[in-house]
Amino acid sequence: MNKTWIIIKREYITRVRKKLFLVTTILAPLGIALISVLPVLMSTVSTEKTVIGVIDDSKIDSTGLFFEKFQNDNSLEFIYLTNSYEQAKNEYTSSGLNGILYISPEFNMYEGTGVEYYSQEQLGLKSQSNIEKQMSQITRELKLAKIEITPEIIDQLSKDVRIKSIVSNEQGTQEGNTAIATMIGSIMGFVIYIVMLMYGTMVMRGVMEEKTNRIAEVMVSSVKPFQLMLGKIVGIGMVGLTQFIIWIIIVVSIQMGVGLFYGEQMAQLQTMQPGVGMEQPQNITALAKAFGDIAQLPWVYIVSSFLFFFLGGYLLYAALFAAVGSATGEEGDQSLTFIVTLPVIISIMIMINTLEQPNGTLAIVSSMIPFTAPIVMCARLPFHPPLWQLILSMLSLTGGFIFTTWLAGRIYRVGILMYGKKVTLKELGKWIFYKA
Amino acid sequence: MAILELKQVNKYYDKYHALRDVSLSIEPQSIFGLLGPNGAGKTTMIRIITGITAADKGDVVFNDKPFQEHHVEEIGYMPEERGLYKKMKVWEQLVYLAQLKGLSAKDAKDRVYAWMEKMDIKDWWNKKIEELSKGMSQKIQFISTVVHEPRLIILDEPFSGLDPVNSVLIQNEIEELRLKGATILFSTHRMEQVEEICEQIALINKGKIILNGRVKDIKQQFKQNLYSVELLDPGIQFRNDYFNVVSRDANQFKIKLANGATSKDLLKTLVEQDADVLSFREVLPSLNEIFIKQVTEGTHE
Repeated sequence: MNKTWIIIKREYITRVRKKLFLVTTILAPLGIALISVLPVLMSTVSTEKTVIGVIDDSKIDSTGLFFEKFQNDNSLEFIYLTNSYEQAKNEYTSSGLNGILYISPEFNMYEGTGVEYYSQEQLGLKSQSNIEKQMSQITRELKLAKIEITPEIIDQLSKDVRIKSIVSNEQGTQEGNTAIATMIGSIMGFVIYIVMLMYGTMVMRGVMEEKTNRIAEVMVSSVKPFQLMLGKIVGIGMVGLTQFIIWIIIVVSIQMGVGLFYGEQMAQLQTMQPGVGMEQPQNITALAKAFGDIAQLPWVYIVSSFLFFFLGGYLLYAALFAAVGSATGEEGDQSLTFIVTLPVIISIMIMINTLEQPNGTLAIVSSMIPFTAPIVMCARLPFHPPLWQLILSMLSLTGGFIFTTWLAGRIYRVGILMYGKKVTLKELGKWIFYKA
Repeated sequence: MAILELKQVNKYYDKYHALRDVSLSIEPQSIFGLLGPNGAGKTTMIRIITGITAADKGDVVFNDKPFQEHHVEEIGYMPEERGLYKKMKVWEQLVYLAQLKGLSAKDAKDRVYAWMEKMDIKDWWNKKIEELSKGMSQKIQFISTVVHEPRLIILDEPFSGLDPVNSVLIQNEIEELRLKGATILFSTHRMEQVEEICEQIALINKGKIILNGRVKDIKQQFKQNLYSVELLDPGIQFRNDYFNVVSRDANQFKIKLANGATSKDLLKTLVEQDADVLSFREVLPSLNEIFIKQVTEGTHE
């Protein structure tokens, strides 16, 4: 059996069966999913209602402007009182109310003044804004009626202009959605950023461990330093890939579960509040359209290109991190680590700019530089970049990681056997040209 | 036929000339001592022999063939600074290292088991390296060095940090391996051990071999015509120009013979004076003395 393969196997197995791996792999996505589901869960679970007595003395019309106009939901319930404010102040607790919403005779709907809430305890922010929103909405309708503007006119007024983005290139003509593309692009860019730093550092720590444990010398008397380095990089890369596949499986299955759950919630919201938010139905159609747009993205092309940059970027940086680990040993070297981390951080800054101008000069140039290509090109994927740029970027990245692996191998073979010296960049440069 | 030959080997680190025209030859089934002060080039030499690094100039011949990559499988190397993966279990560690020396997984496991049984440490099978004491992990390290039955075993300061019991145990194992056909290369600066164990030595200083040969021959080469004589009656007169009494401790004389004088002349003097000789022996220099003399002389050059 090939020795590199034996090393890959050890690097992989010792990491995968660690408890920490299990915990981060399984609990992390569950944690994220839980956080995203929690608000919805809490709003449905919370049974504690605030019951509010409403006294309307505004006398704008005979029954009171707000009479039976408030919407109850699962956190707020409105009860309309007929007794006087002073009377109610004395009695409200005994009749099971949490507070009194008093609309005084001085209520001025143009100024929005003359309303108070009387209670023993402060009203929650969410409840307060809910009530304020409802009251504004009710008065708004009245005000509009007074100047004879119909809801149809409002609807026409509030229609926004929407640009339909059509992308036409050698992959065909498609309707684009800039917002969705930006979102997907930035997620992919960040994922690559995290992968390169997280697993890159893992490689670096592994190399440092071997050096400080002095196992390195035993190892290189059996295998070539390059095999040892490559075995570690590939082994840890496979750990990363495993972790990712598990995460994707967990996230997709949770999303499917949650999707059903959210779907119900949304339907409920729709039936519950027909009049309150005029913008609500529009939001839902926009959301549906967004989901449609996401589904319409060329996923096979995006996912396979993403995987390529994921692996290429990892290989490129892992090699550099391995070199740094071999050169520093026990105590580590902040400045050398920083030099390797810097291009990753610069890539993220370029990516943010790129999302604004996915086909700008900066975006194109940095897609062709191997050090920035993984993050920048990945972020551009959903914007349908020209095919030649994608291919050139991939070639440059391939060349890049072959080069850094070669370079790292030269430094590594000297570094892992070198002790007790503080290494300078100049010295690293010399190591590259030592004879094996 | 030698198991290992170095021919005019040179090694540079940048501008530093670490090895200068190093040549030596190691007989099969012998125990060879590589001596030298710290920084003399021992480690560099070993790294070249083990294939960790390559010579810039010169040849390494293993078993009559130019050194090739697969030869590392016939070499077992225990570096001075011992190291194992702390989090790995003992057996996994040993099987892993054996596999990297070319054994199949099953073969490796069988041999590891046999060795652990032999050294009476089967109980440690499932222990992690970090749970072991220093002496224990030294034994594991030793097994990892020899488990693939190498023809050449290279031990760098093998007894440092070992207690006397384990030291003897390892020494016996080494002798057993030698009898089975292995050649052992020791690197050390502890002379008394070398004198005890090695047949052949090479003394290296500042990247150069300054002494090389059989221990017996080297001692002869550096002898100073010193004799130790113990007499019953100390009232003996030695001719001052011929026999120089270097030191005297009661009845024990240390006598240096002048050039031209032989042990026969000394004995004749004693017999002529009718001395009762209790003991008579030649004093050979210890390797330690030779070592120090050579190294300091080398420095004064």
